Amino acid sequence: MKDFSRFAVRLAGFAPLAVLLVGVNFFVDPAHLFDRGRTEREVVSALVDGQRVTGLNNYDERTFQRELATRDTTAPATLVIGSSRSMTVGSEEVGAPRVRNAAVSGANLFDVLGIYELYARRKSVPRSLVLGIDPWMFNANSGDSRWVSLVHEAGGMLARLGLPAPNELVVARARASRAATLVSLDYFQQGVRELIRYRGIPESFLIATSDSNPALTRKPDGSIVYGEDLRHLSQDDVARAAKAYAETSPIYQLGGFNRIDPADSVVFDRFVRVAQADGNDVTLLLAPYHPVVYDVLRNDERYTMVAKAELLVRHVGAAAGIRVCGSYDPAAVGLGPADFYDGMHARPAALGRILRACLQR
Amino acid sequence: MLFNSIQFAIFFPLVTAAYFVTPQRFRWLLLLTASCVFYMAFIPVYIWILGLTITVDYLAALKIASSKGGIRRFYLIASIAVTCAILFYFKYFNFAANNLDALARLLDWNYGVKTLRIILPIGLSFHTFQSLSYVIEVYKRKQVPERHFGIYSLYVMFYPQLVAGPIERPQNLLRQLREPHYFEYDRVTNGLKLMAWGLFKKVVVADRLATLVSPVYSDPFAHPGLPSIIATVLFAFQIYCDFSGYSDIAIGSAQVMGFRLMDNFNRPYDSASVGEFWRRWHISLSTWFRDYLYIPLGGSRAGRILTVRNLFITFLVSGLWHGANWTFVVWGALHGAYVTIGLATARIRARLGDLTQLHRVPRLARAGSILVTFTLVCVGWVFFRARNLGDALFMIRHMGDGLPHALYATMSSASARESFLYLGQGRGVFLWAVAGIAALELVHAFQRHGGMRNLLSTQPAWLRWTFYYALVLAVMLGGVFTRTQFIYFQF
Repeated sequence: MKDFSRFAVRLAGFAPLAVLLVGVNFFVDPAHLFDRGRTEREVVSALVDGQRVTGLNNYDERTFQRELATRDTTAPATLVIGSSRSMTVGSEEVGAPRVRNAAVSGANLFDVLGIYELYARRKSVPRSLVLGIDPWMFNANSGDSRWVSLVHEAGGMLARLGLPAPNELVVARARASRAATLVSLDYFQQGVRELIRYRGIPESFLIATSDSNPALTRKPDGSIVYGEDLRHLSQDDVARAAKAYAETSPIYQLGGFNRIDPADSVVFDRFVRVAQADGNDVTLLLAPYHPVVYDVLRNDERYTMVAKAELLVRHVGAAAGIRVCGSYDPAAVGLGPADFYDGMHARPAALGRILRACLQR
Repeated sequence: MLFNSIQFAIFFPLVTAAYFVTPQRFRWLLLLTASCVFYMAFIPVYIWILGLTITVDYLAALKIASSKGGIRRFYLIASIAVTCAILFYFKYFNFAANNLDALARLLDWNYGVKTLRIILPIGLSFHTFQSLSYVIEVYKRKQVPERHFGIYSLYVMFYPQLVAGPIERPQNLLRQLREPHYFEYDRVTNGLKLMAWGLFKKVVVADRLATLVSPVYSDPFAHPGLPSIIATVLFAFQIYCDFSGYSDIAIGSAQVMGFRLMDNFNRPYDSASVGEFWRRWHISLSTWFRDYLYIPLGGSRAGRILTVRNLFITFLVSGLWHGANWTFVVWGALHGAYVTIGLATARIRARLGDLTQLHRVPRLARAGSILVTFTLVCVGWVFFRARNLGDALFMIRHMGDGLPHALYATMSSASARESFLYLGQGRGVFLWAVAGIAALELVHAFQRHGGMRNLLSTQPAWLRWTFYYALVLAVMLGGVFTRTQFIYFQF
């Protein structure tokens, strides 16, 4: 007991470091996880006023989408839902006016359902729906918890599909994962970097006058234009980035992808049918990976489910009479290394070629 | 569950606290349950493979102990065969199938065996070897068989060393699983300090170095000459910090609970010969191969030619143990060649030393030997790290390309420094990595003179706490926390 008391006293000596960690994570909060949606509300106000915002790197994209769907009352003709791999799709890429891009980074099926529900609730579901479907949407072990911000909307949509709401345990785990960000060392490093870079807590975002800016820019239609750092990468740099991406273990969101999650495939199948029944012209977009990355996805036994996910999407599409545009395999849609920003993000022009050709069919 | 994850940061204190408040007779159950949770965090279903190995070797050891003559031997061979068959199926089947396929194509034969699309169970080679050592020790009558299935299961599954060693011997670990352990301040804090040091080596040094090394090894054709030399030297430190960091966390976490695991590393790059390197690198594996392969083959007792044969077989198997790829086989063979050539030239080198009078300045002679050994080991690391033999051979052949020009350019041009020295990753990343290596070598220097712990214990409290704070802050600010696996997990 004496030894334990002595140990507890010594351990308490490290308390200032714990306070520093939690303090930086909470107050600097580079991803605006703990500011209760203030940043997201301000960004939406700017976008609704027709302005572009830049320098907004980290924020809760789901909360942002909820704000945007609630505050912007104009009805889009085309709604794009997906992950960052579909986030650059705008009017030019679709070849039609009044596009609303509501993609969120690392989207899973709950995100897709939740965002669709946001527009369904306000009775402004558009005529045309483009769903960017990523392979990890069928991976129960992707480990992403960001969708929890849209848990109520996703639950509402699941009820419409005749399926139970997300498991309480799953929701609790996702919430715990967010709370764990308070003690995340990765998040702490981001916070310290921001403190050093801006010599204090930085501005959340800036209003831009054009689409092309040094940092990522979000346009009034919700789509994004990447910053100069990505747009101006040389082909060698892109190849290096793609290689580095391909070598990460596991590849983003594809860890533990041992099987197509049966629950996810049921959700997906029912959702596209309900979206069709709502009067949407549904298009499924399979955004390609960089050739180097796809080579790994095709040959590494850890990623065999990627091809199976594509087959599933095609099967569901065929059964429901829905267009399936693109492929995870860049060669199948005629894309080469020059069509990418990095390992997983195709350039908007390339996505536009795929979409326009497919939508004209 | 990775040692460098938030899950482990929660798991470890919970399990440790529960361990000390649990009555002694239930502690094995607590640790076994915790070990199952730890292992199942990777791929849950693979626990059945582990269960099969455990059951087979548990029953085999009981049978061996109660049998005589040829039957004993039969049970030993059966146990080894089943355990190795599992290892072969998951680790070597595809390698064998691919090579047979290549051979069949060469001979224009029709070979129809398809490769398996399976993921290698994590740490399979480690717990297979630990399990084998138990059966062999029982067979050699150096260990009584463990009758308690739970305790034996815990011996194989003890979570600190389950997935990447140290590969323990039953004489050391099994006994400890029955011993009562109490909360002792010095032991607990020493264990925690070792864990902190291991974490520093992994997340601050190894993972930072990986960002410099990986781009070169993923595209060696774009990085001939100086970059490939620098990447290889950095990889030598990366793999050392990665693996010894894991071992430190494993040993430290066991120590906190009162268990003493064997040392696995002893400053291997201080070795003056490749033979010495293997006495300091991955000690639990090299002693395993020594005891269960090299010595049973005859060791060095049967003449020079058979010694060379035995060494080569041991190193080839050691290479293959590391991975089902020809690069690992060549790596093993290379080390076999180093050791045999080292033995064969011992007299010549001694005479050379006499002629040059180097023995009069032993420090200089040792420094020279350390440098030569490090260079030889680095050549081996090229094969170890390269994706395939073609890449490795290209790197070896082109390491000298444009070297004088590159060396001169790095001194005179910032852009040349960026490409040749910083390997395209920027000055900051490079300097962080070099600072990490410098910190590592500083601690090694203290270890040569009595150890870091002893030195710290004699310092005033403010100095000790400054050091502890610096270490923790270095991990917090300089660590890489993107769930990077330990390199040796793949084996």
